[in-house]
This record gives sequence, structure tokens and C-alpha cells, in this order.
Amino acid sequence: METNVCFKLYDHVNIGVFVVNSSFDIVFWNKHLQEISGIKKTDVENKNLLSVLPNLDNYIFKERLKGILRGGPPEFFSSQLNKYIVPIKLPNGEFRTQHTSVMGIKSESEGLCAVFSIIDISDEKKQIDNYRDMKNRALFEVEERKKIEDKLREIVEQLKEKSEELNVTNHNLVLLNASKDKFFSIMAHDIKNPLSAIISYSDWLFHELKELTQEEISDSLSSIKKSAKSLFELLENLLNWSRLQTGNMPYNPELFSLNDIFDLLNETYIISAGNKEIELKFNCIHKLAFFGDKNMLLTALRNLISNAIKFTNRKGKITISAQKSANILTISVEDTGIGMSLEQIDKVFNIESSFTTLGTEKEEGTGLGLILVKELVEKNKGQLIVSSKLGKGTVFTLHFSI
Amino acid sequence: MLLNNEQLDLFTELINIGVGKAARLLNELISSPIKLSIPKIIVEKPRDLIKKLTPENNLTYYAVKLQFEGSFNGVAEIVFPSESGNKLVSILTGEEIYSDDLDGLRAGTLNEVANMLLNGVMGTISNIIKEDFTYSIPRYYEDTFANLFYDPNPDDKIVLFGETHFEVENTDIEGDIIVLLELFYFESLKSELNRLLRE
Repeated sequence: METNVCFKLYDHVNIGVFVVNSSFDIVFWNKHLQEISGIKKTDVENKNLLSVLPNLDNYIFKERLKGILRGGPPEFFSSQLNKYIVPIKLPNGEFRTQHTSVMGIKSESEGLCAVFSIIDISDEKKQIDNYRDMKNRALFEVEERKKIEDKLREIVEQLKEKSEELNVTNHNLVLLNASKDKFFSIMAHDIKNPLSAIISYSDWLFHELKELTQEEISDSLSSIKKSAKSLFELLENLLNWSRLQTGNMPYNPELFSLNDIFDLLNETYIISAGNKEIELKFNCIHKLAFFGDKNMLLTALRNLISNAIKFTNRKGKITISAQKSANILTISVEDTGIGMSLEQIDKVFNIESSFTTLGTEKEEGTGLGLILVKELVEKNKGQLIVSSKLGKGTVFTLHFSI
Repeated sequence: MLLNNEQLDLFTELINIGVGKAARLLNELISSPIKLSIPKIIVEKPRDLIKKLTPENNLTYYAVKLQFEGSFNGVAEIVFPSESGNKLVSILTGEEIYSDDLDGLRAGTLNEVANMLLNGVMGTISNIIKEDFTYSIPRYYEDTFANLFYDPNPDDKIVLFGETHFEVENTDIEGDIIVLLELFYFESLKSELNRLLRE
């Protein structure tokens, strides 16, 4: 009884306290510990600690307790390394989490005793666990949201790619549609007109031959010839253009003499240029070789020269030149013709514009020639540049890397 | 020189016996082999030691302090650089070293481990000078080294400083054991060491 009196103060603290003497007998068990553990003080006081709490019956605990009871420093038993000193069950079956400090204290009746102070941190631990769960859930949600956002971003990217593909397809369809329109326009007008002229003149000749003068017959035949020639040029271009559009014009590069090409073109156009008293001049001082598709280059130059003849007034001049610098081969077709405005230049290269102009002597064009030239030059990895002044003339320059 | 080489060697050996006992208990507690040694003890005046030791950076250190009173007063403490402290707690509790949960486990775990080691050291000193002390409950702190070591009246004290090497599960962990004694009673420690040397 005397022992209990000197430790009575511990009944007024709200932490669990019990006191053990040097024989390891429990000499005091406070009210708070009785409440939280359900172990009555009358059941444990004056009983041996290790029989009341057999979980403490181990070498380390006993050594540490002996140290205190010899006057050594206090001991701290953490929940992390010891779980608990007094097993107290929670409703969920788990044990309450405790930190326990043990320190020596001298009692008059018992000598040096060890006072165990048990701080229950179950509620704090539960709160920390709850916060940890909340944090983990939040992190999980953030991760999930991030995954969804990534997926959405991926879908948006895919849609953007599809949209771009659609734009390209759409643009190609517009070009295809324009090509089709161009084709029908040529069929409708450009082929029909010269054919009508041929039919009309030949019909007139057939029915009125006996009545016609020699001069009238000659004029009619000249018109028939002009229309037939125009029709032939048109059909040739149309065929080439169609082959280009359908990918049926293979690029067959070879090494050939540019001087030979110029000779051939001179032979072809010397008469038609002469008919309009146009001076046709080919400048190619040095022997030049060209590596590319010979037929494509010929078609391109034929179109440019025939255009130049068409749009150059009588007594004008057309100069076709070729020269080589460090790594560029330049071919130019320059005329002193009627020239083009910037707006007209834009239109002649636009398949959708169906732009065509009559020549200085009412020669008809197809509106297809320059588009074809540009495509043929590009097929040969070249570049077509136009410079023109209204009333002064036009220069078409072809640059090829060598 | 506050202690000559002979006195210092004996003192180092006695302290190592003390922490060795503590290490054996720790071995049993954590069931993973732990080797512990204090290869060298430095005895200095606090100001001189701070000049030598205080790191220039503001890194956080974990410390457990055990204050004692008796015929003379002092404080024994263990200081861990945060990296070492976290490694030790991670090994002892099995928690990931970079886990947020380690923060919650650190105070209790380091408090208990440091407490056992300091008890070994103080038990040795107490035996040598044949004095009993009253101890306060060990307390855990986290702060910069300079703040942890701050003493408003350092001139009348002496510092016993030992670099402590732990080896747990092939991991090296460093900490410092520091005992701050009043200078007057350091003389009794010295004379007891001389007596032991003569025996």
C-alpha cells in the first residue's frame, strides 16, 4: 500500500504508466493504463512483469531494463522497432501503436525502480495512414488523369494528321478536278474549233471548187493546213500532259548533245519563224552536253519556241541560248514579243484558270503549253523562271543543276 | 593537448567497449548484423571543434540528445547527416529510402537506436569516473549542424567527439557521437584514466 501511495500522482496523468522494481515486480499500474488496456491494477500489481506481459520476456528487453535498474540512462522503445510494450487490441483486431520511455526513479520503499511511460499514438498513426491513403489516391487519380490526357492528346494528334492527309487529298482532288475541267475545255473548244475550220473549208472546197479562183483555193488550203497543224500540236501536248498526269511518262535520263537539240529545233521552226519574218537565233558557242530526258527537254523547248513565235510580232527576234557556269546549265528562250503582265504570268501556270490568248496573228493556244513545260522541267530536276514586260518581250529561263 | 596519446587510446578503447555492448543489443533487436566502431576520439574545446567541423552548407542533420545531471552536468548526443540517417532508418524498417513515409518512421527509430548507443557511451563514462547521473528522456531534433551544436556558454566545457561508423547490410553509415562535459569534471575523467593506466 505504501508503494502505491508514492506513485499515486501517476493516476492523474493521461498517459499509461506502470512501475517495476528491481525484481521485475509491477508495483504500480495507473488508472489511464487500466482504462485503455482493460487490465485491472488489482490483477497486475505485485505480480512479475514477465508473467503479466510475456511478450517482454526476451534477452534484449531484460538487459535494457537491468541497465536502468542499475542507475543507467533511460531507454526509449519505439513503435517501429518494438511495436508495443503492453498489448492493447483495437476493435479491428490490430494492436495499439505505442512509444514507450523507461527511466529510473528512486523510491524509499522499493529502491531504484523503472517507470514505464506509454504514449499511445494509434490515433495519430491512423490519421497519418489516412493522409497517406488520401495522398496515394490523389496520386493515382492524377496519374489516371494524366494517362487520359495523354490518350486524348494522342487522338487529337491522330485527328490532326488525318485532317492534314484529308487536306492534301482534297487539294489533289481539286487539281484532279481542274485537270478534268481543262481536258473537257480543250476537247470542247480547242479541238472543236480547228476541226470545225477544217470541215468548213474542205466542205466549201468540195462544193464550190469549180467556182473558186486559184487564190481562194490556195487561201482555203492554207487555213486547213494551219488548223491541222494547230490541232496536231494540241493533240501532241494533250497526249504528253495526260501521260504526265497518269504517271505514264517515265523519266529516262541519258547524256546527249545540246547542240544537236538546237540544230533539230532550228530545222523545225526556221520556216514558221520565217513566215512571220522573225529572226530565230540559236546561241550555243561551246559544245554542251545535257544529262536528262531528251524527249521531255525537246517537248519543253518546242512549246517555248512555238509560243515565242506565236506572241512575237513580224520582224521580231527570238534568241535561244545555252550556257554553263560552275554547276548550273542555263537554257533561255527570249523573244521581243508582246510580253505578259504579272497577273497573266500567274494565270498561265495555273491549271484552274484555263487562261489562253490568241497570238499576234490570231494563232490559237491551248493554255496547256506552259503548264506542261513547267512539269517537264521539274521532272528533270530543273527550275523554270519567267521574266516579262508588256510590249517588250518575254524570257523563259531553265536552270538545271549539273 | 587536452589528453595525451596514451589517455586518448585508453579512452577510445573504453568507449568502443561501451558502444560494442550497445551494438550487440541492437543486433538482437533488428536481427540484421550491425558493426559499429569509433576509430578515433577527438577531445577539444567546443569553439575549436566547431571551427573544424561545422559544415559550410545548410544541410539538415538528425540528432538525439540525452541530457544528464549529477555531480556535473552535460549532454551526450548522436548526430547523423540526413542521408546517413535516412539510410539507417530505411534498413531498419524496410521502408524505401525516398518514401514520404520514412519521415514518420525516422524520429522513433533513430531515437531508439541513438538512445541505446548513447547509453553505452554514458555507461562507460559513468563507470570510469565512478559517478551516477540522472538522465532526462532522450529527445530527437532535426536542424543544421551549427544550430544543433549551439551552446551559449561554450568556454567552460569540453567536447568528446567520436566519428562513428556503422556497417549494416553492407551499407556504410556515418554519424558523430558528441559528449559535452563541464571542463572542471573533465579533470576527474583524466585522473581516472591515469589511474587505470597505472593499474
